Amino acid sequence: MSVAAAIEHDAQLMLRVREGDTASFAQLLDRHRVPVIHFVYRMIQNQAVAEELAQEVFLRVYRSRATYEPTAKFTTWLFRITTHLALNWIRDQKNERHQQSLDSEAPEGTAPLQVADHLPNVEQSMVRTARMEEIRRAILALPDKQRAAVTMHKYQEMDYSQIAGVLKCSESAVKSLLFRAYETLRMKLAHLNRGVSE
Amino acid sequence: MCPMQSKENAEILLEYCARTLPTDTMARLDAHVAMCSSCQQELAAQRQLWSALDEFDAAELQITPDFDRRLYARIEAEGRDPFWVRAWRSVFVSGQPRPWRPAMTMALAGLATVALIFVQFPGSERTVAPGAPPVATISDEGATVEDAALKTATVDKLEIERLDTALEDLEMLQVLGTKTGVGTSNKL
Ligand SMILES: [Zn+2]
Repeated sequence: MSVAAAIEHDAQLMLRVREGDTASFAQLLDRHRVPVIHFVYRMIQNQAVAEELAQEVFLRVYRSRATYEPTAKFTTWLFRITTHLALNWIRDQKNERHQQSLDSEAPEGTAPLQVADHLPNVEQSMVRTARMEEIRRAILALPDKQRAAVTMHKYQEMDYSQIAGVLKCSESAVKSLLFRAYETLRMKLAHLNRGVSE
Repeated sequence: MCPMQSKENAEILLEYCARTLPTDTMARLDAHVAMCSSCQQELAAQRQLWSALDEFDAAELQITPDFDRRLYARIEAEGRDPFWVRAWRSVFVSGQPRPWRPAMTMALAGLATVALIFVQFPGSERTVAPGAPPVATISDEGATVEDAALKTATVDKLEIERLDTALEDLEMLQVLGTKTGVGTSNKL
């Protein structure tokens, strides 16, 4: 299915939900459940909260069915709701634990991703876990908007115009956000690559 | 010209690295990068970061199996909300003007106002009364009816509190709606 057709399909499904077709909502949920949960998970790095917020996202989608108009791409609209909820949650968390430094210790309430243990030995597994932890922390330390932009660009594979649509800013602002974010990440994670090439 | 000579141009290397540029631009950069060591360095660093970020693989995240069931339970529970919460919601989230919506908003606002006045002045119906016949009737029937009115007011107060909660929840949607172009035509 082409990108344009996929967009069209989502909007059509949502319009059918508006007409009371719950099966179309189930289809939308099937298509976007994983991307939404993964996006929120990468933003806040806590699976339970990610699922909770994702539930809220789909609840809001369902609630908006009566007034839905396909003025923007469905995914842009969906991720706008998702990003808004995630950033709100992050803001509330920050208010709650404003004294704790993100750099000095792992944030409260974040549980590391549970990785299936299929690695050949314990040492390799530990190295991998440590690397992953560093990557997670570097992403988590980015300013919120940069983190959202990177998550959409790198992991949701959205283009600049779509990210701009979600973040409600210009494409050049998105480029600038991404440029700064990747620059920071490169500095923070440079030693990982040195470790690999040695 | 080398993109690395200015920050604005260096941004293009991100797109080059993600292979999202138009084919002719890609080809032009391919030719330049082949001869330019600072571009090569920049690209190598970005590619290394790219592959490091690949390790943060959320695909291994196990979504809890009852995710959908919980969601549908919440949707169903919302469907059981009192009619006025649902009506208020549909008024607030609306993107299209519908004839009954302003009337419904007025009716709900009216109900809330009357109830609030009852809570604040439970015994002084006459200050409330102008243009409100049912209230005037209550005052004529003495204390027992007044008690009943108080009870109603308490119930109304509780309902207003729930309404407030629903409103807080919907405030965000309204903001979102305004941003997305959904719901702009229906500000109170
Ligand atoms: Zn160059």
